[in-house]
Amino acid sequence: MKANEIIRLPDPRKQVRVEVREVVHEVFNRPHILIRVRLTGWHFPGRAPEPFVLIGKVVSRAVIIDRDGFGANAYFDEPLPAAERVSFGYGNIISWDFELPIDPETIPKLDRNKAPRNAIDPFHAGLIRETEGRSEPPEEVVS
Amino acid sequence: MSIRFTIVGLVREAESGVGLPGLFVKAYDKDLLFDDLLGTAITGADGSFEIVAESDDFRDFFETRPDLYLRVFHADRITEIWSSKESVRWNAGRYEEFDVLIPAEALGKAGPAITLVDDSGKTTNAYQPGESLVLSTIGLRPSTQHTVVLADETGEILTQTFFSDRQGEIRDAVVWPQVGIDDPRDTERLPVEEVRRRWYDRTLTLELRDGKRRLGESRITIAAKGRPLAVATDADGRLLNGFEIGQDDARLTLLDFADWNDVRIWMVPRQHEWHEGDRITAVRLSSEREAVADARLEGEVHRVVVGRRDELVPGAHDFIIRRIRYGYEDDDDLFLRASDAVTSRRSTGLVVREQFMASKIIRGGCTNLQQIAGRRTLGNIWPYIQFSDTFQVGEDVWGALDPNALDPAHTGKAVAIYVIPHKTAAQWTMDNSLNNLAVLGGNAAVPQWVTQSWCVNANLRLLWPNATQVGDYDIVADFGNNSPTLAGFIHDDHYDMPLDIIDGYVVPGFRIVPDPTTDTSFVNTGSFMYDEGSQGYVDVVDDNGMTNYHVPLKASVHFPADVAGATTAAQISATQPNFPLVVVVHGNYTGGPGSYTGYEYLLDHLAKNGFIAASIHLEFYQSGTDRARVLRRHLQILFGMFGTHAANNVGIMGHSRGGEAVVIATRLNHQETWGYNINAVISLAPTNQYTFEHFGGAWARPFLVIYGSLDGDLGGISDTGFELYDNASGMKKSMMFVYRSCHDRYNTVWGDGDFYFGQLTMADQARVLSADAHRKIATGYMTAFYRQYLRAETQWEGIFRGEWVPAAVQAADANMKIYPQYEDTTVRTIDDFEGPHTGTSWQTSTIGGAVVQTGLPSPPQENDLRTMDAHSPHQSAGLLLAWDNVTDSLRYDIPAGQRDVHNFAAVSFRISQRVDSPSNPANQVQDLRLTLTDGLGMSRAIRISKLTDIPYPDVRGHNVQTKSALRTVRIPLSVYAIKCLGVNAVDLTNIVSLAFEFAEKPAGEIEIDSVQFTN
Repeated sequence: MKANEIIRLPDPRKQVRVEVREVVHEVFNRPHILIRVRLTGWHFPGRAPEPFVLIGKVVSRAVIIDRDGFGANAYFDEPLPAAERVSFGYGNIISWDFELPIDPETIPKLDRNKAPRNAIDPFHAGLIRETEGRSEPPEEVVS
Repeated sequence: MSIRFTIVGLVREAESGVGLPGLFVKAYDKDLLFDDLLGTAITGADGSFEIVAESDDFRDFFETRPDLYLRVFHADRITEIWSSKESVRWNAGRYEEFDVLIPAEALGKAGPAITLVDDSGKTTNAYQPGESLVLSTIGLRPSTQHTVVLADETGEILTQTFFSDRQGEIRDAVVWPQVGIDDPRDTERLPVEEVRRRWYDRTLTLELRDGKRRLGESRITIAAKGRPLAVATDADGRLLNGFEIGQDDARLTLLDFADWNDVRIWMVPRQHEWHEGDRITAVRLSSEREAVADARLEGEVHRVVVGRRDELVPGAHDFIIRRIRYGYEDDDDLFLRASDAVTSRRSTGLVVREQFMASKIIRGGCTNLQQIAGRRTLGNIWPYIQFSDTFQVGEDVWGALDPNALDPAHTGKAVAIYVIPHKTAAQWTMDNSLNNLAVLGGNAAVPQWVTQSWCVNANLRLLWPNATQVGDYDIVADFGNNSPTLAGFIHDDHYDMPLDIIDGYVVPGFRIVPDPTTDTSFVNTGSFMYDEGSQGYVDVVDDNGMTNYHVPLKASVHFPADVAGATTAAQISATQPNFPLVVVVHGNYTGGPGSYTGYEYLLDHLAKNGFIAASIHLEFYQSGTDRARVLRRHLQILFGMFGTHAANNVGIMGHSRGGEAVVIATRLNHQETWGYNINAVISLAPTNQYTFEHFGGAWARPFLVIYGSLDGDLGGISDTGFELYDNASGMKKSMMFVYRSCHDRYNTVWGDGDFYFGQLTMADQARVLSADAHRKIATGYMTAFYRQYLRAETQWEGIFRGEWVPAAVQAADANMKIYPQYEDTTVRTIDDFEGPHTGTSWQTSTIGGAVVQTGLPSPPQENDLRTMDAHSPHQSAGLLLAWDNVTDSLRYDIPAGQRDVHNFAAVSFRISQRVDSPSNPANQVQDLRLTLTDGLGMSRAIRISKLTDIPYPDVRGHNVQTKSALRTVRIPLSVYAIKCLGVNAVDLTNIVSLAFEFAEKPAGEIEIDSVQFTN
């Protein structure tokens, strides 16, 4: 075999894409403004340990993996730092580092005037903010 | 509807009326064209049999009852010896009895077939010196002692006795372990090259006897000239396959290797089978040198020292010899080649025994404990024994005297082996007489042989074929008058210290017990599934509050039934008014739907044990509390379906995230007054990541955790079942840490899913226990747990204290290792290491006494275990210490008022070897002594390794995930009081101190916790 006969497949980690923006997400049926980091182009299997995303030293509050495993939304209730990579893991073990730079200055912000009036906004001082971390989950509803 | 027919009977010898075990019985329905086989059975020890048939098995168009006849075959299942085909029972009833009388002459129709094999497993009658003479025979009277006599023209060379098994077979019995390099008749030992010449070109006769009856004969020949042979010898060339450490060198005598010129010899750990391509790993000697020697061979005879006596380590070793050619890199390849020579395939090359006195359980005493009972497994043709303490009803119990642990004084001595009911400490102290079980023929029929030094296979016998008497037993090796020959041997029917050896004494040597893995009380079960079409949905929110789940209510349900094929709850068995309910909650698996159908094997077995058993569906990604709430809804549905037939006596089992959810559910059941009597909770490979439960208080319930060392999903150090276990209190709790168990193989739908999460290396994956072994673990442990706590059957309690492993679980893998933790509700804690931690806090124990160390290289550290050791999976404080001298110790003084412990059953503690500690030799168990001292200064130091293991951590491919996992060690307090020659009993009403003495290994580093007296 000659060197010029060798082909190189694309590095799959370079296919991963990230989209970062502020969203409103209901937590225990109350609207919260959170930063969502959406990862696509990778398969994220469902496992026993909860998934997490790490950016700099900030850990996601929760990660929701798409039903088919080909995308994942990580939600943050702290400002994101500037970082060179996004790390994804389960439990407390990082599985993958994706070389995806994060620039907090470029994250699209929601217009607070259009957001739900009762939204909890951890990014703006003076607005409603949970101090206990979580409210009690409701009883189940049978339909 | 199918109707059941039962055919029972007794097969007896016509002349004597004695029952005939091991025969093969077939029942037929006679038809015009083709007769239907209704069923088969093998006759039991008393000749009885039972065959159950369903009408579906035979019914033709108009036929409602079978026209019945029997055929009885020899154990070979081919030779027919009796038939009632000419006297058919027309229109037989639903229950038919037979009394089959077979003339003795007919029983002899199929004579035994004697087969001899060589070292390669091939049938032969021609042997090379050094090979083993191995006998296999079928067609014998089952469960009967047989004698094999090997003789030449001058008379008898040796005699061996073997029990036939319940099939009437003797399989792979080693008659003469190393043919032609010793002479069993010699009193003087000669160099092997000299003895070998004596046997060249000789013909011997092997005769098989059943009592005085001669059953058959075979002739063997020994080669006229030897081929290359390597055996372990002393410096003078006399056979020396075993000796006590320090007494000799590891030396090989090489015969007829002259044309090999330069050779390399590796001394390697003993292996049951050697195959081309096996890795060669030399034994690491105490000098840190590998046991490898190069030699240049000239002439016929060479002796090569591979390891000096001052650097050998105890163990069983083989030798591999390779011809070395100058400059060939291939010859450095550490994989076995076809051209390499290996010391005898059926005999261990060399056994270096540990010092015998140090192996005694009570220091200074003369009680010789040694494992003898075991089950024999057949790997291809290789026979070997897996030592075991537990056997299913009807299993064969084998016994072996492992030369690795035999006193040199016992080697080459005649021995008689007794199987006796286990005695209590008081009974042993009063009476040391032996009564071999009547079913084995009493003391007159004890098996006897002359012990051999070099291989366990030469000291291996079937002791109790088809053991059906449930109970606890000991095995005693009685050396009687200490005779070197059977001819001069007189066994004395007593367990005499210091000469005799016992498997048992302080704890039962073995048990015959129904196995919860296989035992059932219902033949028939029914099953059905329900789904959202009939039951609707339940809406729940996850623990983060971020996802709402609309969960379809579907489940698989199994229940005991009185007929086969039941499919509705109304068809539940009428044999009892109600049945306990067990519900299974699965974990998160997104590889496909139907996780809840992955426990059918378990549900069916639970139903056969009298439980209504259901497995419920959960949606992908659900968390903890929401799973618990779905479980509640299913409990409502199931009680609605079964009505009064479901007892409010509930067991719950959760796997993975489900394992955390069942603990949450038990709390919510109490806090929210759901109204269910949840009486047993099992967490299988659970998470601990949502509500961080402290299971206990008002909702404390019996709790069992099962978790594997090769879990590929929850492989991390934190957030596992160890934490759930540590944080549980107020109940009887157990945790089984299963070496080589993974996460997903407990669920048949999940398969090997956790192999592919990057947590298990390829080497790890290759080590994982089989799926069948995983299912047996779940079935055995969970059935026993629910039978104990939902059906109040106390017979299973020993499983959860770690005293025994269900036989089918143990037999599922030759290296099954399950390390238990157990805590009782009745304890007197000496030290749990909780509370404020300082540099000196270890010096005062929880019970308020002083703690004193002697000789430790640095003071012990008391702190949270994970703070001290990043590999600790525990959420508990403990003590970390290292020792570097056999005189080091750690003593706990027990304050006045706390010293009477005689009402407790055991002294116990949790212990782990610290991962990666250079003080712990790789892959070796640790050992120490636990000493109790009374107010009069009487003291006994008990060696832990004679009761259980302090295992080396199961090292994972990603070592960061290897765990310093505590296991509970329980020492029965009776050990401190039982009669023991040479050492006084300890007064258990006045114990003034407890001490860990690190006298058994030169160095080590351990973590300990939960030091307590307990029930």
